Amino acid sequence: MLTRMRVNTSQIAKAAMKTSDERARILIAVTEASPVAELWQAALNRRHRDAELIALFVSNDRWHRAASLPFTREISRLGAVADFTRQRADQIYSESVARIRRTIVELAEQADLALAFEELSERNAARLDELAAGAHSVLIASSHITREPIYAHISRLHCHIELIETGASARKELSKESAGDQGE
Amino acid sequence: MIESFVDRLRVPDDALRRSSDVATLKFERSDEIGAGDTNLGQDRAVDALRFGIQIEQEGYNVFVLGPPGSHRHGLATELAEERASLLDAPDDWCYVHNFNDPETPRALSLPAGQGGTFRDDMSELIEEMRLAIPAAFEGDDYRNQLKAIEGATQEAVEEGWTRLEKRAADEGIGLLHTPTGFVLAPIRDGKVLDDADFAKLPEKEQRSIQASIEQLHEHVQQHVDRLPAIRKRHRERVKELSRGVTEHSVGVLLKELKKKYSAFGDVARYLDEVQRDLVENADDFRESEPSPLAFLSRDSSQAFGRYEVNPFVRNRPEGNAPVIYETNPSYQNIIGKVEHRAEMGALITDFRMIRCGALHRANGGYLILDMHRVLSRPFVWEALKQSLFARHVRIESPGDVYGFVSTTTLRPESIPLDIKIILVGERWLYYLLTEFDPEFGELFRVAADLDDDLERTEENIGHYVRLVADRIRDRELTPFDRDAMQRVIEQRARIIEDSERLSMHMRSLDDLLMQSDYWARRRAAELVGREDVSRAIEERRQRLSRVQNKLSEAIARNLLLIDTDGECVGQVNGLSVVELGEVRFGHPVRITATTRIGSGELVDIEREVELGGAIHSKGMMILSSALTSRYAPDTPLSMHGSVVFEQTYGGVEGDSASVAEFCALVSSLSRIPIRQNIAVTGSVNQLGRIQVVGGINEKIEGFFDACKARALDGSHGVVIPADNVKHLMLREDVVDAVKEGQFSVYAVSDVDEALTLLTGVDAGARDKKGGFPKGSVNDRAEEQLVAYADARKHFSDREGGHEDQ
Repeated sequence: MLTRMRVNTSQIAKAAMKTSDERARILIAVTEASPVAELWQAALNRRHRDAELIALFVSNDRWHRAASLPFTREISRLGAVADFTRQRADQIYSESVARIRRTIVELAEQADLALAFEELSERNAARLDELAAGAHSVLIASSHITREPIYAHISRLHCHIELIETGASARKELSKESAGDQGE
Repeated sequence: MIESFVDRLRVPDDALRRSSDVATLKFERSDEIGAGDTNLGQDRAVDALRFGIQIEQEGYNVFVLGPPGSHRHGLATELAEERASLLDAPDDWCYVHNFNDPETPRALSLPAGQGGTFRDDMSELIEEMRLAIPAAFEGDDYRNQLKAIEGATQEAVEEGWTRLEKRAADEGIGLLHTPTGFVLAPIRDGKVLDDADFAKLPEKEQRSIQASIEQLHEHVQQHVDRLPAIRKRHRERVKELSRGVTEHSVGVLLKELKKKYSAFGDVARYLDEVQRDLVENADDFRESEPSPLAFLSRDSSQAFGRYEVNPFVRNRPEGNAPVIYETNPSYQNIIGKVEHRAEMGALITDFRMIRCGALHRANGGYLILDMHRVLSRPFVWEALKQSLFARHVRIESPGDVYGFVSTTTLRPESIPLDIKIILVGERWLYYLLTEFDPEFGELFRVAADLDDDLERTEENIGHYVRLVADRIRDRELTPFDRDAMQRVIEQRARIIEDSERLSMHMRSLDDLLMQSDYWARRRAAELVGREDVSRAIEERRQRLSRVQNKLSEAIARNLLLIDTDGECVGQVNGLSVVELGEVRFGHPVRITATTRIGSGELVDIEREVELGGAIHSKGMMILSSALTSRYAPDTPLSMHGSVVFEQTYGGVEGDSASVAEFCALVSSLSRIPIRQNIAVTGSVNQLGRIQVVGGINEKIEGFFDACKARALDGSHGVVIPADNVKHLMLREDVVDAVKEGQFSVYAVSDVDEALTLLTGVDAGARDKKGGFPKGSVNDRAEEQLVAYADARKHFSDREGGHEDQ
């Protein structure tokens, strides 16, 4: 699935195919835990004229895998325990996509830049080869992507890869979030 | 003989109008006259007021009794101010926030003038806090300490998760963070196992994984349970840090203020509370992130508002005790009120919106109120009494007091009341309250009863002239010349209906002076002259003369039948006075009487048709008694008589026509006609003595005008009670007509004199044998009554002795 702000989807898809060798692309690979604002800032720093911005939501099917196990349960931050079902996995996944997409789209709008947004699954890693094929393309991701299964594929790409060291801050964000839900 | 009798009863023209008061006074114009006593003739009331104002005992409030326009407010204000000028200004009162019970704002007292200063000091303090406190929180010291606290908290949280993650990883389990919690799942080669992968594992490993997850679940649960405590501790430490920072800043700023107000215990305690509250709520002074919903964002000015001061009663330090005259004594204007402002559909209030009432403003001094207005405003009288009994004033809405509404609102602390109330009202109000309100007597123990008039002695005339001159000066009117002053005095006697007294009604005096001034200015006169005063009186009469003119016209056109010449049996001209608001005038009224044989009943037609008032009925009964005791005392009264006021269609009240009615009845009995060129007024008692009546001047003038309209011929006149002569202050044209012999006023003392005058026949007095002179009015009346008795006896005998049949 490919979407693009201010330019329609089919146009950008065609453009990507036709000009893959000529046009530079900046690919922002984000996961559920990625610090989007930091990655966006890094992308802006890297961006040069005419470079095409594409946000890639790197999906991870761990939720669905975990949900497939009959004994998996979710402990809420309030201490409640519930079965972790496929519906719950779907919900978490779609909420994550929506959140990341909303955040990065807002950042692009604030910077008045065009941005395409695409979900990328492990099974569709070939699509990554296609997008990163340009000689001047750059892939920006947070360092924790190295723990994702797709990193094996990323590491083989020919484009420039920039990993932002965000592990601590990403974790920090999550910690704050968990504390905040305790009633603050 | 009759002529000499008539002359004897004629009132001399110099008694018709007394007008030589200022002859001995040395002045030509009013501006030459020195200042006088503004409270002339009110010695009793002044003494009572002074007593009431000065006595410092509970319940000694004052009621000033007097009609409107009698200078009652002026007198009360003057004497209260006289006393207040000797007393210091009372304390200021401020309302402040009550930190322990915000719905009950605290009342603080400070010496006069310092309420406003305290408010300014607190406003300044708030402004300084708004700068100093954020500055303290922005300092490196605070930031570093805060960072350290946050770091420690973060570490405590993080450490738990790290430990759990490590332990889970050691057992091949991943701790996955969902948006709302945690999931534990087996991981192999960095990948979460799904059900298919898991099924491929040896059964033993599967059980081991499940057991590990079970155990880890418990650890996760324990860590989650610890998080609130960690966070709570974090908050406490942050608050402690904030308190420490604020305490220092606030302490420095409040130090001066505390020192300044250390002499005032309540204020000092309040400042301690302010300090505690500031420290507790230091965050209010820090800049907060604006809310995306602007209307929900916290208004910091409101947060600081609770440290403001509402100096709701302020007095000048160099001033004296207050004297307040509240012209609109509504509940809220007397007791005070708590205002509200509309905010997002709700009514909001706080101690800053407490407004004082007259009781607060006059506290420590004097409050003057118009009693009629107090009673006509709902709830005011009860609230006033309640406050005086309690010696406290508490601001409550009537809705709360009477339980009409039950919404929560402010209940400001009550304020001690040290006040003297001076009520001003008419006499009937005082008597009514004394009779029906038992609490009234407890609270208003001093009555200051203003006199309506002043004795017209030579000494008092001098005082009165000075009083008039003062009022002319005060109102910056054209000075009055000597004759004008004389004319004013004459009119003042006229309106009080007594040539020997002068009216003390100050508003009517002012009206006369101002209107006289107007007419003098109209003719560009340098001085107000007698003619200006006379014109003012006449013009006023003319302005209000519509009804009088209609009546005169009706008489002239014979629509209202009044004979002013000739004679008639059983018909007499009585005199009545009409009062319509401020208008008062007299006019003649025909009274007729008929008599026939009967059983002693005298029918008052006015009473029969319920047009006669109680006093009129009483007069008729007295008349009846006078008649029966006078004639044929040994014979049963065998007459049926009836008396009526002809052509009157409204009510008739008073007994001033009883002499006329008596004469008409006697004329009817005696068949001796009554002169129609003479009118008569006066009340008769059971013994035939004639007593005084009211409105004597208007009555005489009313008949004079009716006769004059048909041309005076010297025969016209009015018979009045002799005791009324002292009340004569007739119009100058009437006096002139009398002087010229065109009109006469006769003063009589008993009905015989009246009968002789009206019939021209001697009334006759009983001789030694008990009989009246033959042919006299009384003789013929008695003769007729005896004849009625005989005839009645004759009828009675013929019909078998049943007299009453």
